[in-house]
Amino acid sequence: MSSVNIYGVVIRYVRPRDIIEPNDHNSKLDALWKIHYELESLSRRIKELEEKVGA
Amino acid sequence: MSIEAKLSELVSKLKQIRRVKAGDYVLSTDHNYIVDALSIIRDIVELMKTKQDDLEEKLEKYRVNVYPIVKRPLSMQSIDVDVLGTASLMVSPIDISVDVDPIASLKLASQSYDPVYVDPIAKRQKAEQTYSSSVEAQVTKS
Repeated sequence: MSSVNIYGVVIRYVRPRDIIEPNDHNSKLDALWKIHYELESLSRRIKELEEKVGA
Repeated sequence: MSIEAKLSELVSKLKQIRRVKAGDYVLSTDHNYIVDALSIIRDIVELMKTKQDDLEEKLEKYRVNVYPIVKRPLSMQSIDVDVLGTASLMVSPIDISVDVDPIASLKLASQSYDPVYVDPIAKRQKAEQTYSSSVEAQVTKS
């Protein structure tokens, strides 16, 4: 496996002695932001569910 | 795989990631372990979304099947519904017993949320009339 796709952001795995490019770093940052948006949306849905059940 | 299993996988992956100081090289393993961790976090988010979907679906079923009946005033403690010939239910302050099929309960839910007040006895008489006339029509046909 040479890369992973996190909500549309592709991050490559690097081999030993490969140079970690700025793009590798930025992809990780983008993926973190995407995860943040997903968690935010999930949090909203949980809040709605809590309101429905009166919790 | 369960959320708990994925979380322990995440913890063991996080423990592998080195903290670097000024002047240290960031190694390929440092980068790759972070990529692994991100991938596990994505899986956890997806599992949580699936779980949330299940809970929402269960709540919706509960609201349709039980809530409209429980919401009714206690003066209507005993309700006998025979709209489709398949539904029957009894509600009392002590014991609630429900035996309703999904179509009938949807019908009940729509009745319960009807903003216009309709006398339930008149409504039932009308339903019985409709039912008996349809039976008569069938008998005449046959």
